[in-house]
Amino acid sequence: MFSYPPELFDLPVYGLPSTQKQAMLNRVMSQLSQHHYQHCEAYRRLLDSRPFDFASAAHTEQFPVAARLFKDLALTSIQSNDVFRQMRSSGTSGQASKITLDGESAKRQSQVLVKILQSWLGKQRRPMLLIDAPSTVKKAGAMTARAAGLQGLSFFGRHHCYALNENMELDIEKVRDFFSKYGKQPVLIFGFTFIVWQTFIQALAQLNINFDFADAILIHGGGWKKMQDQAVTDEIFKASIYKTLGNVSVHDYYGMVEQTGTIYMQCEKGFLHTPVWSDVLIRSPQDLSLLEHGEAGLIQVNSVLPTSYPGHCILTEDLGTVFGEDDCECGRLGKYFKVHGRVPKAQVKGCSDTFR
Amino acid sequence: MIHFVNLNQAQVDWHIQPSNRFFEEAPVSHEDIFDSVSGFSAYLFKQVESKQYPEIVSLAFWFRHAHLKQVLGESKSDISQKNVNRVFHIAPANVDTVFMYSLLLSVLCGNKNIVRISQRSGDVTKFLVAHLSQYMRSPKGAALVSLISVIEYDAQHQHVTEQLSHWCGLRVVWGGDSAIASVSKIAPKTPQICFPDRYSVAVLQLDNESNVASIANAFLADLLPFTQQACSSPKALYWLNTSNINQEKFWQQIELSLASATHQFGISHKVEQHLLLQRLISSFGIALVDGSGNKLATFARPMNIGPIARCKVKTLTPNVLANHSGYGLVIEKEIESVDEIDCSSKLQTISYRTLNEWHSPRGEFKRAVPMGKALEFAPVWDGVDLLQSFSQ
Repeated sequence: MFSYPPELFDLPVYGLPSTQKQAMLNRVMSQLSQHHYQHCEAYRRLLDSRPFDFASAAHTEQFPVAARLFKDLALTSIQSNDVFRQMRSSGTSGQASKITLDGESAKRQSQVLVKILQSWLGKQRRPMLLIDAPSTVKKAGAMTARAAGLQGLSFFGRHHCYALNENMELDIEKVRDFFSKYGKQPVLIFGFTFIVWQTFIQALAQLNINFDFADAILIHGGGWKKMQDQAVTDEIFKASIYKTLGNVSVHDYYGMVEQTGTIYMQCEKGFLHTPVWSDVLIRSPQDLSLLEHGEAGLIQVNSVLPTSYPGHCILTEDLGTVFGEDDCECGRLGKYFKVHGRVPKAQVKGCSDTFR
Repeated sequence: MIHFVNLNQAQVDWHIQPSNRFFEEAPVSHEDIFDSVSGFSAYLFKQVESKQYPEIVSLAFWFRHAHLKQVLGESKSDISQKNVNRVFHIAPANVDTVFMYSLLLSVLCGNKNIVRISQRSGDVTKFLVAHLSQYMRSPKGAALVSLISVIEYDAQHQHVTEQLSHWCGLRVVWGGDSAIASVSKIAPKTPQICFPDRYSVAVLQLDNESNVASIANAFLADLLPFTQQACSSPKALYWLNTSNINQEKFWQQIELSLASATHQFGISHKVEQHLLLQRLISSFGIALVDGSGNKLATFARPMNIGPIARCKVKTLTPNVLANHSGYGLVIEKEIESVDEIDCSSKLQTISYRTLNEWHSPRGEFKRAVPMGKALEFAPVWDGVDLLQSFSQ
């Protein structure tokens, strides 16, 4: 069992100054490395391949495991009879990531997700419009990132209303009904970015229907990959939403199934923010050296949450830039950053390519 | 006479449609074929775009008149006496020029050929097929009209593969273990030659007098094409009794030469290099040689050499090499004798540059060639004598 420092999860989400936060991360992350070194063989091999003193290394120097390794290998630090749930990434191509959770980890993830989101939404539950089909959660049994997102966010709403039917088409009557009941009070809208755009905002625009919500918060995430073809920027996305839905505060978020619970919410100034239990590092794609604030490179996400699999330091295949720490104009402490998109996949060009 | 009456035209795309003459049994004279094939080489040299692709220049160079004469002269097979046979080639997806060698050698033997190309074919394949088609409309290329057709279809249309397999007398499958496994299940009685997954390595020995610049260029000629993913591209570099100082000299020269070399490596390959090293370490428990000197070491990552990367290991097994997917990561290992090379039935090419005469290691491998010639094609490929197979 891994034991956390007392009151770690009572820290203010965006309120701990850099020196204290970095000291806390250095201590907890090196303990996590030792924990996974003892319990996960594949992780132990990675650390043993070139000895370095990970027990005393700063959290920024701990070994970042490539996110794609979770697709190729079973990376787990628990016994198979302790597995409470196995999460899968929503990746549309190739193998899905497999993340094993025990009961404690699953609970911890939910707790932290609640704390992060409450700091944006308040404790009051709002009537909630989900831009998805009710079957998405049922079919996947909440084991995909999309289903987990829907289920996780549902906790912050009441009077849940799904805006799409089983065929993932806009159910305009249900949306009209939701608006007439709750349009004048604070509401929560949630969905995956490309689904919100294609199946909701675009569909409403085609029907030439606008709503005028008095006070709505839209939370959306899941990446812009599918929307880059359509050349939709964050600005166009937001402008279309104001035009179609009225007074909406729009927040993108960044997160991954490998670190469920830790999400990075976009502030009013357009930056994603690291909560106190997590940090973002930018590494050079050339040699993985750490880059300065303002330089673009590979995003590494560090999180204190994972104890059932060695996912506390993960090297993503996304490119991003950290703009600063503790001095975002929105007033929140912690690092703030932007995601630029994914590194394009290298083309397979071998004789050993398959007959497809 | 075969008409492929059952081929659903919506499912297939003929890049070079079989003509009426393709179905005529009358053989073309070997002299005409020879002139037509070597004429294709001259035609390729004339295309301005060819120069963008070193592998196409090599292909054209290989099929030039003088070299063809030499290749056919050296062959033990008699290609002039045989009856017309039919060959079905399955080209690897996304690759390269290698199937073109098997096609043209088969043509030289007087066979009728259908080539299946993948929908995921890369630029080089598309370029070659388009130009072959154009060439066949010229007077010199006309002799090939009765011998070549090229089809593209989705591999899941198994009945197409099945019909083409029934049509042919020999099936040639380029494309690795999984491709061969899935093709072999279709019309399993069809005689077949296969080119399965292979890996290749390089052996290098340097002393203070070595010409590092020319050796570096030879090594890069083997490594850079196809982003190190061809089966004959070296995945590992064995250092045979070479001092660290000379090894460093070599890598400095490689970095210099890379600055002006043509290659397809980019940022995505860089990311793949880091990933590949992690995958190999976590799967096979590789121990790296710590080159950090007295500095405090950090976590394992390959050393950056411009667009490629390298890492030195303490032990190296055939399993590690067989799981190395290319992308520009060179695994280095120091050896005192070539017998320390990890031979296996999957080891295809050893490219070497040694101070003394080359002695092959004990153990199984397909061929050894001087460094710089790993990707050069030979009519005996991977242990298979293609001219003999095509003229039986």
